[in-house]
Amino acid sequence: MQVPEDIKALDEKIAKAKLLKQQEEPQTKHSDFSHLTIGLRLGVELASGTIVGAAIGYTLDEVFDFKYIMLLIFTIFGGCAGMLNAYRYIKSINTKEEKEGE
Amino acid sequence: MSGPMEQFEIKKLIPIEIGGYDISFTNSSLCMVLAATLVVSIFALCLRKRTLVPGVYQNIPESIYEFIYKIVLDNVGKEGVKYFSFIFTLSLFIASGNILGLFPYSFTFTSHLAAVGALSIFALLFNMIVGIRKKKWGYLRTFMPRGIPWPLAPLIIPIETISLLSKPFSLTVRLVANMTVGHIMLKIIAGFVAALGVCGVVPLFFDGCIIAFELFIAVLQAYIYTILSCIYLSDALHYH
Repeated sequence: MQVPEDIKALDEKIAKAKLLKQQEEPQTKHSDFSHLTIGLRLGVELASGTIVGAAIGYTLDEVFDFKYIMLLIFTIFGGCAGMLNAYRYIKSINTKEEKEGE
Repeated sequence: MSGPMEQFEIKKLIPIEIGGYDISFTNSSLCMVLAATLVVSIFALCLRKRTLVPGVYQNIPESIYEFIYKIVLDNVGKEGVKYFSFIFTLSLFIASGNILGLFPYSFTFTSHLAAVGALSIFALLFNMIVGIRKKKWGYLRTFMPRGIPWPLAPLIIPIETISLLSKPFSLTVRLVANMTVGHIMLKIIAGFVAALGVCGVVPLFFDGCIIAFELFIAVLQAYIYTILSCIYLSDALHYH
């Protein structure tokens, strides 16, 4: 479908206005609320890794009758997985901030 | 007066049992059907007269569409656009479920681990299928990233596997906890309104404020769920 000329002109006008607004706006810093969100997400990541690890270990113990050895091992693995997820999350935030700073 | 946890009780509306399995139509199922119907109806109504320059009503679904499209584009890239319909459906379903739960006599199905957990597992399976289709055997690299010495494989493979499996769990817990806590708080404070008599105006005011805040949380949580689903999809497509 052919886009009318006046719509095209309006589109250009909107794009220009958006660019101007972006240049005028000061760089936004993280608010306290976003810090809280980061903290909460880190907490959930740490806990969920451990819980999922423990659940896998418990299931393996129940199925193969390992006398709770798997529960112990997989809880530790789960804790490590939680820390890994938290580390990756923090790394992604840092990368994002570096990109924004450029 | 009913307890604060009573609102989360699942009630059978149409009992159905097939092969010993209880697949009854419950109040949770009803709210899910309502949420889906509501979204489709609103979109169909607003998009009745499609024009090149959108009117007020056409602007509503278009803005939502563009907003989620931008999330997919920013987090997954152009490659993710073909999976947009899945992300769009998922986020609208959760957002409508969260908002619907705020209405009196309604039921918040997003406050149940089983409902949200099933959605998250479905999203994880979807991401895995997308990753396997794209990278074939290379997808196994997710469990053993490049550059790690092979003697470390017995440690890294279980850790990476748990890391992958904990993603839907953390997604679920975040949404369920937010929805459950908000509704419990509303109910407890509402309990004070009747108990305090004339002074009940104070908790009533607080309840009003919390409802406004809950509406914000309902949309925010759907937004977070969408962003995280996009990030996990991006991991399946680009990672390692």
